[in-house]
Amino acid sequence: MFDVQNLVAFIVLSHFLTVLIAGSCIFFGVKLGERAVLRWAMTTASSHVLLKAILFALCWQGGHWGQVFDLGSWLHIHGYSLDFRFALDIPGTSFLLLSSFILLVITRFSLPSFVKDPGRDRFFFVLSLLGFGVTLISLSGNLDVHCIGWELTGLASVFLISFFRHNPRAVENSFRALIYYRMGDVGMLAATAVSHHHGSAHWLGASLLVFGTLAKSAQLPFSPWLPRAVEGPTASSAAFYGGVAIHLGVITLLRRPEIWMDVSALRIAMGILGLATLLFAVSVGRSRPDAKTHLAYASMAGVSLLYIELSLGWLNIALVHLCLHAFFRTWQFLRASSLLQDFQENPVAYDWLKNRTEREPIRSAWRRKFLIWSVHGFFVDAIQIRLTSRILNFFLTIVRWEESISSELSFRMRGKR
Amino acid sequence: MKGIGEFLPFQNPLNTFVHNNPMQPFERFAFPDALLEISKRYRAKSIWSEHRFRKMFQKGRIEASDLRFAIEEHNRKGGRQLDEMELIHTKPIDAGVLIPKSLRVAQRWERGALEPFNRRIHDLLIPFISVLLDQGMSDTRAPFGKNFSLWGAFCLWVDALPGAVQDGYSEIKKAVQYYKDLNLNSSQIIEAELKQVDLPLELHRDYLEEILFDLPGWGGMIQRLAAVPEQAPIFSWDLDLLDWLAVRLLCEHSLHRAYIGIYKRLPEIDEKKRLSPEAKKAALERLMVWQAASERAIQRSLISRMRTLPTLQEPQREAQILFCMDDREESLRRRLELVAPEFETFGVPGFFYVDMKFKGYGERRRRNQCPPVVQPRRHVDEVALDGSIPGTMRHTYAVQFYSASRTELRGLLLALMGGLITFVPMMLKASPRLELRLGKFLGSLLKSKRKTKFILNGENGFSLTEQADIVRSLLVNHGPGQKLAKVVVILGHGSTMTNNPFRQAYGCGACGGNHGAPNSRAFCEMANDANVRAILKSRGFLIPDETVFVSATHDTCSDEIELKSDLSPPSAAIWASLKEALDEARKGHVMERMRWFADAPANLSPERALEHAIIRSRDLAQPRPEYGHSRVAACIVGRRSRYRGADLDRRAFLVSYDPAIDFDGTVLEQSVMGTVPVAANIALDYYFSTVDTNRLGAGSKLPLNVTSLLGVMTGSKSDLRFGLATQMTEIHEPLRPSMIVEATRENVEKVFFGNDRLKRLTVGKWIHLIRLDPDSDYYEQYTACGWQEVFPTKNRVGRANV
Repeated sequence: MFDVQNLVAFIVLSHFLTVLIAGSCIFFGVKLGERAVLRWAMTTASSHVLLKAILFALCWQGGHWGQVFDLGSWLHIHGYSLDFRFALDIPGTSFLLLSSFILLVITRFSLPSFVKDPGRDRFFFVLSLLGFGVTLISLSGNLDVHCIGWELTGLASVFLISFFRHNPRAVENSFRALIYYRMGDVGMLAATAVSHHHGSAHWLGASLLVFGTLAKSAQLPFSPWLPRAVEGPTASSAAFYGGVAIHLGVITLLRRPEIWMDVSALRIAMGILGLATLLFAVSVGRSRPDAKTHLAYASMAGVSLLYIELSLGWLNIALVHLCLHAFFRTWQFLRASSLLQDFQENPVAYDWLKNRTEREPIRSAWRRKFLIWSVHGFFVDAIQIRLTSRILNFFLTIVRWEESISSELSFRMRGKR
Repeated sequence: MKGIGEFLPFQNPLNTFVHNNPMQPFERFAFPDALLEISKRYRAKSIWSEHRFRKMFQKGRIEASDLRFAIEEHNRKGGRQLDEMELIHTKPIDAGVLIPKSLRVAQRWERGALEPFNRRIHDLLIPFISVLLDQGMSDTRAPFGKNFSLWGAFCLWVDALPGAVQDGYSEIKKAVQYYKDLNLNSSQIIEAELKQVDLPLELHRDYLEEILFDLPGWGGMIQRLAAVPEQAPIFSWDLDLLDWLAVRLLCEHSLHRAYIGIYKRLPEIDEKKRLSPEAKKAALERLMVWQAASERAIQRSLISRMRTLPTLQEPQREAQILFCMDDREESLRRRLELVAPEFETFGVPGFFYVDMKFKGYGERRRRNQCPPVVQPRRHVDEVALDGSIPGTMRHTYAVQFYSASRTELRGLLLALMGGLITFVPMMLKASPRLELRLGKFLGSLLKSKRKTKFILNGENGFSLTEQADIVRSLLVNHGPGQKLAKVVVILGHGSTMTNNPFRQAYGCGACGGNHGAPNSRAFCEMANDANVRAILKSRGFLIPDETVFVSATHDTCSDEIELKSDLSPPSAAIWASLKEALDEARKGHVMERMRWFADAPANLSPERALEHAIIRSRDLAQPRPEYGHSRVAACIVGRRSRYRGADLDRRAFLVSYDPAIDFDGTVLEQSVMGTVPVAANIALDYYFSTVDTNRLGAGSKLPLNVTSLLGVMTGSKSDLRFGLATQMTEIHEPLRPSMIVEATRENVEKVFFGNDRLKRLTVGKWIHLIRLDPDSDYYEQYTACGWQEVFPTKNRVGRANV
């Protein structure tokens, strides 16, 4: 009765329609009532979960794993055509189900938060953008479709970091995240190009693919955007950096083991990067005195463990770990504001904190230096931004030069009139 | 430099948060001058802009008569005369014009250069200060011991930084090294740095203040911890605000030097484009006229409501209920009196005069269950009847879990286990009603039904004479005196909510933000004690033997009312009818509350509304579990019979006071001292957080991030936020509170002008003082020109007894 292909098409289309409708409401300035918007958000979120659960059940029962099919194509240029190819596999479908469940919880969680907020429509639009992107990533059969979803989720993340548009720091941090995402996207697009040229299992394509996933997963050297990304509302931080978006890199690799599993040098590199990120995230995260950046680094550490598991070839363990990690971190992020209350209601908390031997002050200068460096994130942030700003300054000087010339010219022309 | 931190916001660490006026240091100025000073220092809008007032005028919230009254009052003072045409039809003034031009160098370079400049400094300073003041949130060892001053710690911090990594770090290192070699203390450093500034000498102090107020939250917290180190929940240091100012100034100037290479020039100070002081004063006067008009509109509304009373049966002496004076209890009291007018209600300070340091069952720390101005000396403990002490294992596990979940291996295992377990609560989040039922079920299973008792006169406790004093003063000052009913209910209140860093702000202000239950129970035990009654009898204060004091609590968020003690048969019958009446009253009260929540379901029945209130209080996701003191506008001190049944729409604190028994004003003094300052603090806190939520309030609750266990930041790095969040102030109209006191003029003047703070507040026009004559329907307000009658009625019987 239910054709799996039709179901996949339906899911993708319904996500696309959600994005379109939400976007048009904002674009054309249609203001819906509070209860209408909330009900609509909950309905779409729950129906998506239902559809994906059906998909998962069908695949499980019918043994459709590994099935690849095309749902049309677009753009025929010089022998290249953008095929909408979709593939069903266990990591993809289970992550799809997991992520839509988390998004349902996040939607329910964020309903009361945005009640009188002027940015309410924006928030739900961006959330639907994330949903669409994740669907494409989880179900994509070729890297082209994957890239579309990849870019959309990056965009959604940037929009949500800068949700509070009047906070200059939030806007700056969203730009920083955008820069890191774009660097990863270069790798992703290049990997797509290589896959068209050389077929799938090629060492260059594999390395570019892995390189591309590093930015989204906040692995070294692309880590510094993550702690800065907690400027958005708590609900969105939970969805993106706790549950869904941060795991997209790992899911990409889990779905395509045939590309990178044979390149052993790459796996060693992945393992080393994962280990380095783990040590980095744990040292910096432990020194953080505030709740949300603490959690951001913990998330980073969790994902680095996933990379280590991938490099060791433990794919099934990685998948299970991913799902559990997603639940746990989302829950922790959602409860981040309860910290004070937890400490207050816990009668032993303050005394326990006071008596901790680990809180003995540091006496040695080297350990203090290490702590201070870890508080500042080992300056990875500062060094990278310095490099980038040198490059950006170059373009900025060109822009200024152009501005001064054009204002000079327009002045002269106005003078002539 | 002396007293430079005087105007920093007055705030406590979050665990002892209590409604204080964060602008309390400005109270020494008259209100309009204070607004100018606040604008100048905080660079904030300290009053609503004119277009908002005009919108209220168009909507009819401010009527033409109110505006005319305010204009007349302003014109009477002399100076520039205003008229209606100017106020309504000329170009609206924005409150931002009161903010002076910045003196800092960075904003002279180009437009918008100040913000990124600030961020560079904050990127260095905020990690430093949050780690220094950390109460134990981070898992590492503390970097500095107690014998480091802030300046010393900063020197070590900067030493450890690599110079090449960030613009300006090398400059900062050089400067710090220079001052360290010279071995100067912080005031000398500040003086040395000031020499490099190209501003005229009279602007130096303003410049320093502007630098200090760049991070007012952190500055205020440092100052508070320096003054009262015990406020810090766990660790405290020897802090000095001048060190912080020296550090901040040094960073500012070093970063200038680093950037001067890029900008290469230092433009002159730009004098134009900002209003002159005279123009600012004129703009402020216009806005103050609007403010006075909007306050008069509220006063008119309240007083007319106090005059339109339903005819209610006189209260019989079957049961009396002493509520807290809280404005949230106003609707419950009114509904109860409508439903069952035979019961009598009173408004008293919520700590019931039991000022104690309380330690609950199983707790390790004492908390002050009294208003913040009172210093409690007596200790009260709650212990189990069977003498058992609760186990602390699960609490220890919880804290260890928190700490371990962020480490590598333990974190991995915990994530795996936790992931499995948290699936269930996440699923429940999707359906709050299911969660509520399950929560009730589990709660009934797990709730410990252990019986406890209070130890009132233990070591450092209340002696019997003190207990007698407490009972007598409460009953005489605010309550029924000796005309006691068979059942007297002492109703405390508190608020249960979750995932809210401002939780303490919703508690009982008179109990320091805590729950009022311990005080209510302690008072009842005192009043029911036979020994105490004997002492009172010997003093001439007779409590009938059949009178029973019953302790109860009202949860203002979930609107549950709970009885705390057991009753014998005759009282039990009265309590049953009282309980029925309270249930009925609750329903009306909840419906009144629900209409303010935009996300409450439409067309609620009373039962569904009660359920929804409980869901709101338990919902992790809800940033508006209740609206707290939003919309509060007044405090009424007087006899309930004058306005019994008046619909005050939860906008007033209600204190019971009988002028007939007060000859020399001592009762009024005791009544006012514990209540009016608290009401003023709360109303002013809401005022400032509403007018500029970004600079004087805490902004939106959504991106708030708990830091160092002391306060909240916005996002990953920002100033420590003080004040209240948008979600608490969005329905509030910023008003100065009106204190309506029913007493003779002599007594009012004695009390309000006898106390320093009250005098400052009254004369400086931070509060409106309105006197209601005890013998007639005559209201008069204290103005700069003395007492003037306000809101006269057409039919007034008898002249006022002045």
